[in-house]
Formats: sequence, C-alpha cells, structure tokens
Amino acid sequence: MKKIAKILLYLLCIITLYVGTSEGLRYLVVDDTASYTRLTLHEMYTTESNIDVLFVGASLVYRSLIPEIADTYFNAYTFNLGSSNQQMDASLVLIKEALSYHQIEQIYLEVSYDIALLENNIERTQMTGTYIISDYMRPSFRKIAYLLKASSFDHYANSFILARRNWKDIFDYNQIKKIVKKKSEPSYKNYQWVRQQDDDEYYAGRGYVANESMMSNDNLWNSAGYYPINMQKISYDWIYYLQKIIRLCKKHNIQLTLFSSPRPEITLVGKGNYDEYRIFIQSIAKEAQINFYDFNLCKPKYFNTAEMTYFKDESHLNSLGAQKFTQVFSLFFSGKIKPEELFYHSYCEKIESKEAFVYGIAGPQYNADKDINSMKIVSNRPEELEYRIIITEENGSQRMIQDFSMNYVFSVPSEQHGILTIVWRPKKQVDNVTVIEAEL
Amino acid sequence: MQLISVTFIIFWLFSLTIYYIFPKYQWQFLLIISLIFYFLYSGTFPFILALCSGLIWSFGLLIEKINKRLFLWGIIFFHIILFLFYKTSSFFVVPGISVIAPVGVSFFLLASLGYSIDIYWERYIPEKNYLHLLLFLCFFPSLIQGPINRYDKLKKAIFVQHSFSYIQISNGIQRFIWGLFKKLILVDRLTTITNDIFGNLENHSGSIIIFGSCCFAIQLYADFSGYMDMVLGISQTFGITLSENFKRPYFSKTIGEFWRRWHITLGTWFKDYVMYGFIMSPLGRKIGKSVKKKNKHLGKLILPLSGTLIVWMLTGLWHGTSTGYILWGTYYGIIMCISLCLEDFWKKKRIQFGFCRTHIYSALCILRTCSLVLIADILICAESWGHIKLCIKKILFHWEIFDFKSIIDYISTIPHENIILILYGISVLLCVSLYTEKKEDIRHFLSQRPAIFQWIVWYVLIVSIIMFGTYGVGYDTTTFMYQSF
Repeated sequence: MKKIAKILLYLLCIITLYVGTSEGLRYLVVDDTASYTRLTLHEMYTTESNIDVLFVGASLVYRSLIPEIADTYFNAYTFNLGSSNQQMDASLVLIKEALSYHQIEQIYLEVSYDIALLENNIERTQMTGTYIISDYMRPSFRKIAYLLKASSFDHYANSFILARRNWKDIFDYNQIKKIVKKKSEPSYKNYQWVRQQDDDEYYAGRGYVANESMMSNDNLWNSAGYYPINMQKISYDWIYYLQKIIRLCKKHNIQLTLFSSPRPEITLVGKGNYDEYRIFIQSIAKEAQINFYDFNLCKPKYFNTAEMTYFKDESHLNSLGAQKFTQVFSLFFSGKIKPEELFYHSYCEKIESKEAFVYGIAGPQYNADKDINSMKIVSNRPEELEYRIIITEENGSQRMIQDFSMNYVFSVPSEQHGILTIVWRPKKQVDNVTVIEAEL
Repeated sequence: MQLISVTFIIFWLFSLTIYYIFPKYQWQFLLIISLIFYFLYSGTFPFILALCSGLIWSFGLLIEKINKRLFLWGIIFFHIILFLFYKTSSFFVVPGISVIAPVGVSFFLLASLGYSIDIYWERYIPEKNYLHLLLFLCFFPSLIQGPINRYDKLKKAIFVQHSFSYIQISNGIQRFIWGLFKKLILVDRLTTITNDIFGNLENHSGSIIIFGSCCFAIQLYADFSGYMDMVLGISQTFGITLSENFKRPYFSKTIGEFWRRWHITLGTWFKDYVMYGFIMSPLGRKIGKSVKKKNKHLGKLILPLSGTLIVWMLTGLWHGTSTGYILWGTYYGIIMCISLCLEDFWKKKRIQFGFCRTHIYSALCILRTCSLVLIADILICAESWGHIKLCIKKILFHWEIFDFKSIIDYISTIPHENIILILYGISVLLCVSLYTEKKEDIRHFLSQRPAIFQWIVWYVLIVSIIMFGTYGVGYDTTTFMYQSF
C-alpha cells in the first residue's frame, strides 16, 4: 500500500512537473500576441454582461458584424464569436462554451461554402483553425473531447502539447527573447489590442476585427471566382456538426438562424453555381424548421455587393462594408425590413435583373502540366455576349486570342506579360462595344 | 498497428493486465495476442505462418519414422524455396499476381530452420504440441525483426508461469523508453541527411559521402538497436528475457568482434548452423583432408576460410538480393578471410612491438573497424553498382576525402535545431554506451542512485521524446530499417 502511494505521489509530481514545463515552454515559444481569438474568448469568459445574441462562424463573421452597432437595433447584448477558418465542430464547441457562461437567446450561424468544402475532421492536415480556439478555451472535458474529435490520431501530440508545435523555436534564443518581450507588455497581460500606426487590421472588441483596407472598383482580377462550388465535396462532418448545433439549440430553446454574409458579386458570379449551394442550405434549414437568409441576395438598394469598396479582398468585408452590413442585418432581424423587400428570390434573379455586364476576369489559374495560365471572363449573362481578346506585349506588338466569339474561357502561356484587352458586346450588336483592360 | 503508436501501448497494457490476472493461461494468451498482433500489424491473417509452423511441426514429429538426411534436406529445401519465393518475387512479375512477403518472413524462417536442424542434430526432442511451436515461431515481440530465438532457450522462459514483478515491468518499460529515445530523437533526423546525400550522389563531394556514411552508421544502429530495446523491453514486462542482439558494436577492435556485437543472434545462427554445419559435413571434412595432404598450413585454414565466405555470401543474400547487399556480404567475407589469414602474423607483431595493451592501439583498432564498417555501409546506401562506382570515384580518385569545408558547408544547410538534437542524441547514446562498456548496465547504475535522481533522468528522457520526438504529423514512425529483411 505504501509503495502504491509512493508511486502515485511520484506520478503526481511528474504530471505537475510536466504541466509546469509544458506551460513554461508554451510561454517561451508560442507567440500569440497577435491572436484575435485569445482576446475574443477572454472577453466572452470575463464579460460582466450576459450575451443575449451570438454571431458564430468563420472570418466572414468576425469581419462582418459589429456588436456595438447590432446592440442598438437588437436592444440586447450581442457578441461576435467568429474565428478564422472556423469549422462547424468549432462552432459547436464555441456555442457550448458560450452557453456554459451566458444565457443565450439567439444565435446567428454563418454557413459559408468555403468552410463547408473543407475536409472531414479525420482528414485534416491544417489544424490552425482548431488550435486558435482550443488554445484559449478554459480547461474542461469539453475541450479535450473537441480536440480528440477534431483530427486524426497523428495530430494529438500537437493538440495536447502546445509547445511541441513550435519546438524548433526552443533553440532560437532571439525568437524566445522577442516573444518574452512582447508578452511582458501590459497590453498583452491585460488582453488589450494595441493598434500600430500602419495596421490596417485591428481587434475592435467583442470579437469584431476591423479592416480599413479597400478593394478598388477598377480592379478586374478575381482569383476566388474561377472554380465553381464543388457540391460533391461538401464535408460529411460539416453537415453532421450543423445538425448537432440545430439539436443543441432546440434543446436549450435558443432561436437559431442560418445566414450567409455578403461576398463581392464578381466572386459569386464567377463561380456560376452559387444558387445550387444556397438551395442546399435552404433544404437543410427547411428540414430543421429554422430560418436561412442569404445576404448575397440583398437588393442593391440595401446592400450593393457589386460595390467593391465595401470589401477588403475577394471574400471579406472591410470596416466600411461591415458597418453598412451590420445595419442592414440588424434592421432586418429586428423586423424593420421585410424579407421580400430586402432579398431577391435567387442569385440568378439578382444578377439577371441587371443588364448584360462584364465584371472582370476570374483567374489566372496556373496549369503546371501545360505551363499556361487559364482565365475566365466573368459576366452575368455570358451566353449573351461576344468577346474579343487581345494581348498587347511590352514591346507594343499585339496578338489576338479571339475575335468576337462567345467563348469566355481562355489561356495564355505562363510567361506572357503585357496588357490584356477584352472588348465585349451583346451578340451581333456591332456598335455597342465596351472595352476593359487589365495588366497581365 | 505499429510498435510506436498509442494503439500498441493500449494493446500492450491490456495484454499485460490479462496476462497477470490469469497466470494459468499465460502461454495460451501469449499465442492469441501474438496472432492478433500479427494480424493488426501486417493487415493479413497469419495463415502462412500457421501453415508453415504446421509443416515444420509435422516434419519434426515424423523425423524418427523417415530418413533423417532426407528430412534435413527436405526441410532446408522447403525454407530456401520459401525464402527465394518471397525475396525474389519482385524479379518475376506475373501480370495479375502480386506476391507480398509476410512481415518478418526472414526472421521466421531462420528460427524455424534452426529448430529443424537442432532436431536433426538431436539437440532436443521435437515439440509434441503444435501450439507450443506456433507460439515459439510467432512470439509477437520478436516476430517482426527478431531477435532470432532458439527453441530450447525460449521454451524455458515462455512456457513457465510468471508472477507479477514490479521490477521486471519497470525495467521493461525503461528499456522500451530508451529504444523510443534512439528511434524518435535520432533516426528520422539522420534519415533526412542520409537520404539527401545518397539520393543525390552526383551533387556531393567524397567527404560528404563519408559524412553521410557516418550518419548512416549511427542511424542504422539507433534504428535497429532501438527497436531491439523496445522488443526486449516489451518481452521483459511479460517476464520473458530474449537474447540480446547488440553489445555496443562500434567499440569493437576487429570486424570479427564487431559481428559478435552486432545483430548477435543472426551471427550466432549462421555460425552455429552454416559454419559448423559446413565444417562438420562430410563434404567439408573431405575438402579439409585433401587440402591438408597438399599443404598443411592451407589445410588448416581452408575450412574456416571457405566457411566464412559461404556464411557472408548467405548473410548478404539474407539481407537483400540487390547488388549492394551481395557486394556487402562478399566484402565482409573477404575482410574476415584476410583477418583469419593474418591473425598469426599480427599476433606475433603485437607481441614483438609490445603495443597490444595501450589505449592508443585500442583506439586505432576501433577506428580501423569503424572505417571498414563505413565502407560496407556505403555499399548498402549506394545500392546500385553505378552509384557504388561513383562513390569510389569521388572518395578515392577525386581526393575529396579531406574536403572538410564542404562538410561544414553541408552541415550549415541542416536546420540548426536538428543538429542540436542529433548531437544531444548521440551524446546521450555515447555516454550510456561508454559507461555500460567500461562499468555496468546503466539501469543498474541508476537503480543504485536516489529515487529523485532516477525520476529526473527518466523525466528528461520522456520529455525529450514527447517534445522533440519525430512522431505525429509529418513524420513516419511506422518503418524500421530492418523490417524489410
């Protein structure tokens, strides 16, 4: 008996020593001084106000919804629990985490396609989206269960031993010195974000991350819109965890609403099959008897998704867009705008309500086998237009790729540089031409 | 299920618990878990192993009823056919038919052939119980990479009842951790270096090839001896002590000694069954007598020389059928024969000059042995004849052997954290080996120290493995170098 007690005591010492070493090493080698989720989760845990309304999802949430604006319309305390690459299992664990600290009445869950298309948990190769949440969750069995289910066995060492992820830095004295210095700052210790002079992006409180950069309306290139949404690739786990969230909300009598944040029109028009995805989500929502609202279907009068100055990149809103969107979002959900007034019935209806128009060029997509760059002209009515494509090389010589043909997909050698000129016109309307130019 | 996996640890702990809870059925349980382990490890049902074991067992029982010599040759022929079938199946590709060698087939065949020859030589009586023999041949820790067991020795340990012993289990776990340390701290990091060097021989100078060969020597030792430590440790927790396979081979003063310290069970197997078999055979004796008649000195040497050559050709072939392995075996055979021929000459010279007991002489002998081993390692690493020629050309004819600058330049391309960990691993390995070589088993030394000291040592070792071990994402812990033999 004495021997067993002795062994247990040793084991306890070992575990304590191990946790101590692990935490010590984590402090030295894990640089989380620029982590938004560290601040978001800390705020969620420590806020004195009860969170009534929760926004959950990936970067399309934490860059799009400003709780301080939403509060005034909802007349409640709102909180943005979005995080980068937040997959559905992460949304579930975050909702559970929030539920154990607050009495939540309403949850708005963003259902963007790029997250739905990510791999199943067991196939995950990149765990950053998981770790930026788990690292700042308070210790609990929920956290352990989340990490165990979030990946295959191979990732467990990195999941449970934080310093192991950055083991190489243990040998980098300068890096350790830099990290320790940053972590010694009072702002780090007090969970405050200090915005540097040149920073476009900063943590603005309650989970919202503001970004001051802006896309230009003159920018014609868009790489996100090149490929259609591959509906076959929607992950099984994404649907599984979405169903779990639906059941959890029903169990706790929380009103759950699914929504999609607005993306630049060129991106979704380029994809060409956005309605397929929207209908898919609609069917899930209908089956679960919950609401789904897609803000990409917003009428331009309320939110113009073709206005590129609302966006920081090809997917995300900037702070100007976020302010505008939060207002529309809050007005709608507080019942001040009716659905039929705000939304088109489908994305097709929305883009076809406009005259034939070329948004820009999706691509370039490099094909290593053929050593070419492929591109696609993005238009709301591609079959109704004809295109002439010309490349003007740096020495002034011109090469015509096609002369007023309906073909809108083309490719050029990867080494090709110069000015790409696209002349487009409605079919057979010889005089009605528009010219756009982009640097290749 | 791989040896370095949490699944295996759970399997091991579960097996241990059942093993000690029901002491009456220990060997039966070991047989069941051995077969389960094989199935989980290889993904194939151990049907071939069970069938081969059945045949060996039947032959053993029939030996008294049939012609003994016929029995022996039948058994040897059966093993050779099986061995060649699996080893050379890749040479004869038949469309639509794929032959996958059962994991550990070479080790299995040596153990079963050893059992059959022992019966022929009447060293012991054949086993009456088929399941006993099956367990001997399939005992799970040694099934994949050895050590190559002898039936008479293992029988004494495996079929007796073992009671729970804290010391046995703790020693076994310690040995397993030590093996893990070698594998996870050193091997994969050195593999990156050796793969880069021997995969791009054209781009590297002779000195870097020598450096790569040094890395390979440590990598191979850490990999194989690390695996053996794990296997022996696992076995020890079940109360079964398997034969040692390594005794710090890089401290050997001669190549002969090196092979008495490296893969010991393979060396003794070839010595006992091939060398002695050949010397004691009518053919061997006939050759010896006829040469002795013509030249007395040569007659004394002819049998050991030809026996050594045969043994090393077969050892090379056992490792693999590629040019590199055949040359490797021949190389060792020639070196052994030369040392046999010069043995008397050197003995006289050593006595004449009186330097046989100095430290410098010992160090030079160790250096000479290591150099000869490094050359052999190049034969394995280079694999093809073209690459071997390239290595020789770069090392010997381009006089790049002393180009230390290129070694320093090459080392500077290796991530510094890997260099630190390799040096750390080698230092620990060297200290432990030196202490064990000069004084006693390091675990005995540790057991004499205060408990707090012991725990700190093991703690540092375990934390090193957890923090810096090459397991998890981006690493492959499933392969061991000797697994392919």
